[in-house]
Amino acid sequence: MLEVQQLTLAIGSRVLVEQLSFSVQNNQIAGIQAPSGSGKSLLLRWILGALPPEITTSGTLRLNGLELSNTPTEGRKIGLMLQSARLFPHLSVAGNLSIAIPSTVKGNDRKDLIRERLSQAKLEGYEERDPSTLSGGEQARVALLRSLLAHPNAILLDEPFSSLDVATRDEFRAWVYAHIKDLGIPALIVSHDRRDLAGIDCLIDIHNDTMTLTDKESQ
Amino acid sequence: MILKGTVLFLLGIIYLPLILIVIPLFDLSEPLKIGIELIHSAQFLPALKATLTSTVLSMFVALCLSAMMISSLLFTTRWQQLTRRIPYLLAFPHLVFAVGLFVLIGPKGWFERLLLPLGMEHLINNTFWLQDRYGVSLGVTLGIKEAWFLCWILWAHLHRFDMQQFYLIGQTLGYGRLQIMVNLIWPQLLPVLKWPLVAITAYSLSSIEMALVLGPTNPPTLAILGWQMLLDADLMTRQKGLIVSLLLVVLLGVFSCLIQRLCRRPLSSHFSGKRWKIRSIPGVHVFNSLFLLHVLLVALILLWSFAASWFYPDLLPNSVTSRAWESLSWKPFENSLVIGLSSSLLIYAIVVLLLEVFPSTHFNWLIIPILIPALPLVVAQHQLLTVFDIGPSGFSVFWAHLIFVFPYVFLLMVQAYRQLDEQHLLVGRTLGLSQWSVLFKIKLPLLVKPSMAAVALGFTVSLAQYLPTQFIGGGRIETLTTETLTRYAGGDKRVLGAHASLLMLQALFIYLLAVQCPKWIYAHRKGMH
Repeated sequence: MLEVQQLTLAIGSRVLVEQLSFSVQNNQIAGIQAPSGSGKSLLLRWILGALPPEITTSGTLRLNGLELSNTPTEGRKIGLMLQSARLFPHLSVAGNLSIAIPSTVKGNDRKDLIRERLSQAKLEGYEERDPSTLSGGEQARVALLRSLLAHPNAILLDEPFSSLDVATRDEFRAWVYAHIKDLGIPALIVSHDRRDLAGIDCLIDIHNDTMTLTDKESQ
Repeated sequence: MILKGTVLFLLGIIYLPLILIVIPLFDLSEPLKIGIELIHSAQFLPALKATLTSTVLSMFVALCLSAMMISSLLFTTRWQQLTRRIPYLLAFPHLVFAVGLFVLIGPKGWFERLLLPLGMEHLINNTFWLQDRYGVSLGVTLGIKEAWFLCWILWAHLHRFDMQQFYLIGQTLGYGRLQIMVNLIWPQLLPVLKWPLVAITAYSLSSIEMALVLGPTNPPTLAILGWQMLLDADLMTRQKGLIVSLLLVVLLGVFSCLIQRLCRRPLSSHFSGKRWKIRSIPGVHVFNSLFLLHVLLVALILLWSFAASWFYPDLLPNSVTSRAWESLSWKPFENSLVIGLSSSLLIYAIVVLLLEVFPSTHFNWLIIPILIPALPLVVAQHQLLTVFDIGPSGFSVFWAHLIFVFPYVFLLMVQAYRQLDEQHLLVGRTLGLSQWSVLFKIKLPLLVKPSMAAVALGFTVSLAQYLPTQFIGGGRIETLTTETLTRYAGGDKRVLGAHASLLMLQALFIYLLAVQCPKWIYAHRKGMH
């Protein structure tokens, strides 16, 4: 479970988020909806522990009961998917996936795992492909596979579908949500598009610089 | 049409020596015989060794230092501090840095005085060296100076490619800073490094002013050897000098091929997934140490310029005086200022015209002068002047500087033009403004900052020119750079300190002006900061 308690984010004297508390259960996908400039992306960055130094913060973050506020980004085991796939251009598709796999998986097992995941994503035979030759949808699928192969305990999605065309978008969204559900981890998604929030379990709404958790069923 | 013709004509006048760079080959009466004689001369092989060592070292040191600083500081608040200081560190003239090192670690230098009370002065003789026969001190010093150049180049690219998001993804995959930099960021930067490394190689191969202070003396580096031979009265020796200058071009070609191979980026597929235990390297200390070194060198040079008497082994002068400053001849100051400002302003005007009249043409070849050694280029300039029977004068020196200033101003302005918001210009055109009205009323006011930076950079490039000033000016045109080297040979550290200080102050003053002017002009325009 991902728990945020009493979070306040401010730039100088301007308070962006004040005394915000919410929690996202394992196996739950929560969406964040708010106007531009209200601090949505900053909230994700705070959860990752990667805020710019000019932002002042207070509050606590727990993941599966563990306090993470003082843990560096690389130690938090929280995955990230961005608007742009950001596949490393100097690595092949297999390289991009291999970099996420823990070192406990060795030798041929790594190759088999990559092959299996690519096959699940309908990307068979893509191992040695240059990421720049992939379509936007294919790149996005590899980016999600990469995040999930690192065995994260939670995943954050920052406008993950906005660079895709309408046809690809619906199919890919369903695929992403299904994959996250399979893993049974909490997920938090930021999107400007209401359609992206259709398949989620709950909605975190920002009103007047505060956020409240609203069960989608009751909306 | 007339404007296009004028721009191309001006480019032709400036860049003609580039085409004539191989002409010395046709001047050689018996190239093979002269070449064999040159190779068998006692000076050649040691000079070649020193040149190769200092060139390889300069590249290696510049790469290591910039890699350490960037790997440690990137995306931290200290990175902003570094990037704010880079323009000033770049403006710090190479020659002043070399002179500063000379008074710091040279014979009876400040470091030796510091070690004396500790009974460790022998270290200075064994460990720290100047003018060593392999050019190690020259290579290391060049590397330190060029590290700022690499940081500056990489800074621009790091912003363009938005590396911060790649860095964040690396973190979310569980990797530490060092491993992200080594495995994920640097491989992406490798192709970007190709041409800056070639530029560093070209500069190291042909550095004269730094090599005269820090390089081996007998025999010197190839660039100095070739230059000395070209000044010789004997025709055969002059022809050997021509061969040396062509050899520098060949060496650069070989280095360029190696750099191209090293900077190739093959697609990698295999990772063990192991997370390194070492997560950072002491790049912050490297940055602080290098910055402090610059401050120390400035302080020592200034102290020497005001020292009345400074006996060995005292750490500070025994008494101070302004005598060295009073005895300064101001002619070199004036010459440097006039040649530097006129060349950088003229090149700025030509570059803006070029970008206006050929908006969609790529003129990448215009940066070639920074990618080839200076000696053969200056020889070609000299030959061209001889053909037209133009003797040494302030004007010929001014012309000789133009080809060295052009690429730097061009690179900065091309980048600035690319970053202009097209919509501002479109709005201007819809308001009925002509192309030239848009240029003067919208573009240039928006480009005040990069324009000032480009002129300042052009000025410091002109200020630092030693070889073209001496060779084309026939030793008759004194600038601060040539005068500082003359004073270095003279051996009086007080006068040397005063000249080096003046050289440094002139460069820093122009840079300060370039940084402050846009702030003054747009003091009440927040959007322009």
